[in-house]
Amino acid sequence: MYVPRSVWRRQFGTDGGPSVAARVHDSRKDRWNRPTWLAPIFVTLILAWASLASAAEPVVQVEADGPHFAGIPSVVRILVKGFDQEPEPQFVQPDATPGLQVELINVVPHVSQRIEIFNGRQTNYSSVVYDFRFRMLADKPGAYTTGPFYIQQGQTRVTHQAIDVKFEDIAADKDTRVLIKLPDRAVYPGERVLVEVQWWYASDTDNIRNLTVRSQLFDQFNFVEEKPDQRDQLLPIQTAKGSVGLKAKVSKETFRGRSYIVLTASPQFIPDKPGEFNFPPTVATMNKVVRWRRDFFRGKVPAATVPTKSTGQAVRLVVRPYPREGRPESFVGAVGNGFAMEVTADRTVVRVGDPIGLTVRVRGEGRVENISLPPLDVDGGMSADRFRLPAGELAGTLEDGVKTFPVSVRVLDANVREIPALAFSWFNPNTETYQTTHSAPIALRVEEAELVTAADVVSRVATTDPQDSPKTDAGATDQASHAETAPGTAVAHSSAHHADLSIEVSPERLLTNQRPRISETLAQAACYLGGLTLLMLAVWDRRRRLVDPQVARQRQNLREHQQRIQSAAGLPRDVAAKRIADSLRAVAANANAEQRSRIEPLIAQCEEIIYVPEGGNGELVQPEFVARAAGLTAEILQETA
Amino acid sequence: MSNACPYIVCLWLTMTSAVLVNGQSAALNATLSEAIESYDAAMDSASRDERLRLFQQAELLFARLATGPSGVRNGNLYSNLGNAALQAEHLGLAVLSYRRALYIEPGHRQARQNLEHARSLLPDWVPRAAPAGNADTFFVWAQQLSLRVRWLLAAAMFLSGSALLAAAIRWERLLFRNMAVLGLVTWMLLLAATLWQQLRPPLADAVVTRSEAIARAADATNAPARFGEPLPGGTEVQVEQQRDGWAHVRLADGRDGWLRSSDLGFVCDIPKELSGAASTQLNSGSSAR
Repeated sequence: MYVPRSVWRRQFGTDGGPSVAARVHDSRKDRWNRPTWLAPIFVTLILAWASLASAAEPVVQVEADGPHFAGIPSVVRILVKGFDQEPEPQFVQPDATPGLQVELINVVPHVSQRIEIFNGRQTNYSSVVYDFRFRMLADKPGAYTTGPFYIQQGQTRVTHQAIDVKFEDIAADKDTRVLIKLPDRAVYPGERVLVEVQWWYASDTDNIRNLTVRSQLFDQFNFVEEKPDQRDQLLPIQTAKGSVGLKAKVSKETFRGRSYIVLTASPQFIPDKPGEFNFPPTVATMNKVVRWRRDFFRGKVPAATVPTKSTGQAVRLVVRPYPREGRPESFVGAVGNGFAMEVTADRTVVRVGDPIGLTVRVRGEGRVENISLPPLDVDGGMSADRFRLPAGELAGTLEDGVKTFPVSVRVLDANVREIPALAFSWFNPNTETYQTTHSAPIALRVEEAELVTAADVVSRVATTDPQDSPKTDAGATDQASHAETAPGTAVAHSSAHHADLSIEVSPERLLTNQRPRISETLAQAACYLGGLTLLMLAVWDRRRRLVDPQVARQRQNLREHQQRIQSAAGLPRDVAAKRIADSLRAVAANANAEQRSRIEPLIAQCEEIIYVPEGGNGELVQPEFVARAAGLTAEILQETA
Repeated sequence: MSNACPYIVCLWLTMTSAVLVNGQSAALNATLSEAIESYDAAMDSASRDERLRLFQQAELLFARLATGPSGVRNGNLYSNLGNAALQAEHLGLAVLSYRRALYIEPGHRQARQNLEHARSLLPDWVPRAAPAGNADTFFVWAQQLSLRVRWLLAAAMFLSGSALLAAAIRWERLLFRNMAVLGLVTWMLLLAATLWQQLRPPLADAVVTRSEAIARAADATNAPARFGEPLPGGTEVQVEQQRDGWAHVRLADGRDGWLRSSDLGFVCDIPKELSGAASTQLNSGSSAR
């Protein structure tokens, strides 16, 4: 059965699905079916908002109006105003929310410009609103939280807190079926596995809008890309990387007495690692038109739609590891069938040590683009004793389904008479066995090499630059390395930078750990401490010298009297009282009125002791008395500072 | 007698540790001598195969010194190792060793010169490491000195600057003050240069050590090749992520791909893998002959 391409394209297009209410509702309320004349108004409003916005701080706003339905992509917008026009701000993908896919579709800058002429002076205002559009898709109904969202332009970064989005369930559609058919057998990594995706519909396909088929199978594995023609029918598939249209065939089938239109896509995927994979049921979602209306040109347009879904069966896939038994050494992961290998050599008459350029071509039914060349010395190939072989994995180039590996080998033995047959093995998933093919051997004629000693080369270089390079230099290295090659063999590299390949031989300079030693750390600490000490001393000295000399003398005097008073503690009463009285009289000259009023009673007490007729009788002065006098002196000394 | 026991034990431990240290030092010296002899013999050898074998042997011995149990961390040693690897035609290990020498001793002239030479041996399409930034250019004078010398010099400049400043405060001489300012400015520049060098170590810098490594689009053997050609040994990359034996790397020109972690050597990690890689290459080289 043929359905016109334009009809299918229109009906099952991959251009994102609208969110439609679970119940029937008017499409004019549907954000995606909004009349086109609303768009300019909306943009104008955004630009007006932008032009009035303050340019000081960027502002971010999220539009995630519902309703949203599980299995149907919803579009969420983040509007950012206040950024500069250049460069384009970058969106930081939020942390993944289990069961919810958030994918940036595009970024649209809305630029507004305003010109004001006031008193003949013209002023231009320009502002931009960046419109980030995302596609959100939830596997199951429920409330999801995504975000926070970060948008950055240069050093400026704006944040919008996480948003809560509720996805509602969709009613099942009895007219629809969706099927995924996987091979009954186990598959192997690297194998191209054919999968069949079918969507069945038992009613008028005109009523279908925004069909999307979704299965985790499409997210798990890489599908072989097949670009559809313009005339091909497409079955829209939702994957983690976005929506893709798979080339599909249309047929008519009968199931349980009902007639269905069946859309069948047969993509191929390639498992890359072994394991057992259980995928939840496949889900097909769509919007079903339940009411129509006529437009201005009497055309039929949907007036109301309802989202529906169809759920298929869960599928299971077993990807087995390659069997260890019977695995040839020349197996390097090629999977497929009918591989062939061909080897050609660029020369067959060589001297020992000469390079031989081999071109190895591999073709076959499988992932030829990803195959590597097996080691050349396995499965009866080139013996490592007789050939110098390249080390490591060799990469080739793919052209017209043939992988070509250029390989350079050198003959090490003059007795070599041929390049032996090289082996290439692959795993055939249909027979579950390893298979090996061999190239044809190539006859060689090998002659002994003519030696040019490196000593000659070294001595010549040594005379050229004996100081900088006592043993050799890079030129010498290159030449010496290739000294035995044939005259026609060019030096592989030329360098503008000469190397100094002399080596350090002193054990002291080679075996010393270049970590900071404790003595060095101590020396550094001493330097810093010494410097700080010197600075502190200098500052202290400067402060000392800045003091008024008269004040300094006064302070010196006071200190001396303070000491005299304190030393009187061990003297007889009369002697001590005389000494204290003398000192207090001298101290009183620097005291204020209040202090003098406290000094005078002390002096009077001293005089009482001095003029007692019988003298001190050898008694010592009371310590409290001495302490009072010394304390008073200290107080005056402190005030003088 | 019992009072003397602790002293005897201490004496025995001291003597034992001294003997062990001397023994280890003797072993290191012996390995070093052997490495130097191999290198010299390789230089004198007229046979290309013999020369390669001897250079590989010298490379292995230098690698053993640098990454063995003693793990000598020395710029000269890594420079020697780079020279041996370069002459043994192990370009990847040579570039890695020069980078490590410069990591340990940023002012190592020979390592810098030979690294430039080794980079020039790479195919033209391989992006080279980015040229020095403005900050690097500004502090290029400081790169001629090792970190240790720079720290010491900075401390000495601080001491002299402080002494001059103290003298200027004490005697109020303009000459002292100007010299002190000069000394302290020099101290600050040295300190800034050294901190700049130390605070941005090349943690994620790595070098492809295999002769060729296929960069893949994903971390799986069967993933398609990322570039038309494999990355040759000596390609310098930045590792952005590591997962299950694979490393997500970015080249100097911004392109990225996945490489097996075993194909890479990290610059600031001075692990045993180098000796492993060197011995692997040595073995493969020996078996090739």
